[in-house]
Amino acid sequence: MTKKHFLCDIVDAEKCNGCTNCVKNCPTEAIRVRKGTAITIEERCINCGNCIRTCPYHAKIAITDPLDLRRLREFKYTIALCSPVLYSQFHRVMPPGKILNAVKALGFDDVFQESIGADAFMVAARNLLKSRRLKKPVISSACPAVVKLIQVRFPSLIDNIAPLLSPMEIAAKLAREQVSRNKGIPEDQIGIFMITPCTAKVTSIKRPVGIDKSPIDGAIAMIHLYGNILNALNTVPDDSSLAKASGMAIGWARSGGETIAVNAPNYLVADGLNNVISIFEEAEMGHFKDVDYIECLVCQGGCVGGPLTVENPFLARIMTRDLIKKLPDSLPPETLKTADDLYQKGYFHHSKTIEAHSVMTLNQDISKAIQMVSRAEEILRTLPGLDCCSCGSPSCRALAEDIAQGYASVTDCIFKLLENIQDSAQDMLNLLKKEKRIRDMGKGSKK
Amino acid sequence: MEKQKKPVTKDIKHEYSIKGMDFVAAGEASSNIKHTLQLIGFAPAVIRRAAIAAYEAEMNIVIHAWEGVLITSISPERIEIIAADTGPGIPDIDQAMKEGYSTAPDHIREMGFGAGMGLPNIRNVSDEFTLDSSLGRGTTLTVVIYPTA
Repeated sequence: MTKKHFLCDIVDAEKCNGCTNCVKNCPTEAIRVRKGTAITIEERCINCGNCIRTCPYHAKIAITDPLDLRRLREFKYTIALCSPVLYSQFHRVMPPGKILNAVKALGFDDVFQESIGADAFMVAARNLLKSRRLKKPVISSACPAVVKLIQVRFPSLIDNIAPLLSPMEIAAKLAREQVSRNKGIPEDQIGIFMITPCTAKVTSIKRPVGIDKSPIDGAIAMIHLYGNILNALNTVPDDSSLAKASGMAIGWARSGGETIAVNAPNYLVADGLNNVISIFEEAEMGHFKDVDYIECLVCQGGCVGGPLTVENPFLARIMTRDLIKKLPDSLPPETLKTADDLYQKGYFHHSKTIEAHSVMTLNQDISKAIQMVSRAEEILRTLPGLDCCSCGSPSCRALAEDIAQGYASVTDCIFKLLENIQDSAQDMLNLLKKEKRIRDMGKGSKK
Repeated sequence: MEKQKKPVTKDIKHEYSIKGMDFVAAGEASSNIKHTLQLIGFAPAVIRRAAIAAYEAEMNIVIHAWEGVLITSISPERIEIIAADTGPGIPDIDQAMKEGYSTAPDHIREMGFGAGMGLPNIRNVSDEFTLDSSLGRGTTLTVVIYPTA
């Protein structure tokens, strides 16, 4: 059961009716419906949240920290770390200081902007591109679902990932150090909770990539906290001292914002899972050798399209645009200089390499895997090819692979089952006819 | 001859037919080949090399030939990709192997193909590379990648 803990979403078996919407929409074919309930093959899950988004019965639930914020009591000092997406969720442009103050009023000792991390990431990424030490195209490490997608489906692109902590991780690291320094509180008694628009961030806190331990302690879904924030907004004043991030960094809430900030000479932006996948397919073929920087975000429209957001992503995009027009474009030069110094010290870098998770493989033994592929192909030829998903696997091909691995049987296919039933019905009929003939013959001979 | 030493591992063979100028299906064969290699579980770098070879060979048939086939034969020790087409053939193989040289017409180049990197790219990713061509008849390209090398 401890293993399950790392999946950022669970299925509420009572609500799940086995409809296979999530199965069909999973980009890594990680979900199957077995015995009427969706199950996730954990190693394949990239935590993109597509299943949560597509489940018509709301049976897929993101595992985040509970709404009553009881975990806050574990720490002496608590910090809410706010995604810039939050500023775009209230139908009208409001000063970030007011929204941040509303979050703080829910019971946190302090509140920090994730966007401070984006401001620092920008400095780091610019430096990294200048150094020319990385394989081109450099793929941004800002979206944790993109990093996991590469680990699972495009491992040959791992060396292209910028070896930088994500803005969320950078912001948490900076916040913890700052509070510890200013308030004299030991770092381990400070609890940092991310107010997140997406599931991928939740998992990257529980199981970080490129570092041993995440600098964040918990995550709370933006959508769960939304009502409370709305209420608090009625009473709290704007506290501009809480909102220090630049407009450019807040612009990362929507796709393209990062690219504007990083300012690479030749760049490419893609958002939405299928678009990101097609970009990586091409990148694997070596098609983007003259592209310096790739910003890929698995949610449509970028983080504003996250599965744990409230506002329509297109409206949220406009809100973000209107807000950043009112904010200073970048941080003051002395702050940028500090970030630059930290970069030179390796402060923003991953401390370990990113591993490949080649989970599409049928068997660890290559010879056995080849036999299984042959077997799967034989099976596939007998399946109807409708990709109807009634068997619980995402396609006929996937079912054939599941059968070859022993995870499913041919009769999971309702068409094959029907064929089998018809065959056995025919057999029965033939048997009955035969019996009748024998009986008739017996009767005949008696006469 | 090597295969007889290890009779246990049979190689797996596939054949994909490809039509000249069929940009609708272009890339499908190599994408299937890549999927198969992923299921088998070769190292990511090996899969990438084989996928590049298959893709470039497939696109060469689509762009230059009338029709052709990609034939793959995969064993743990050896990945072989044969691209055989009926087509105009290559008039000057040495020149075709030069980076940046292409006979693709302008309308193909405008689509982003025909950069003259196809054959040199294939050679770069392969351990064995054989090109046979006869003018007015067709071309056969054989690529071998040794996954464990």
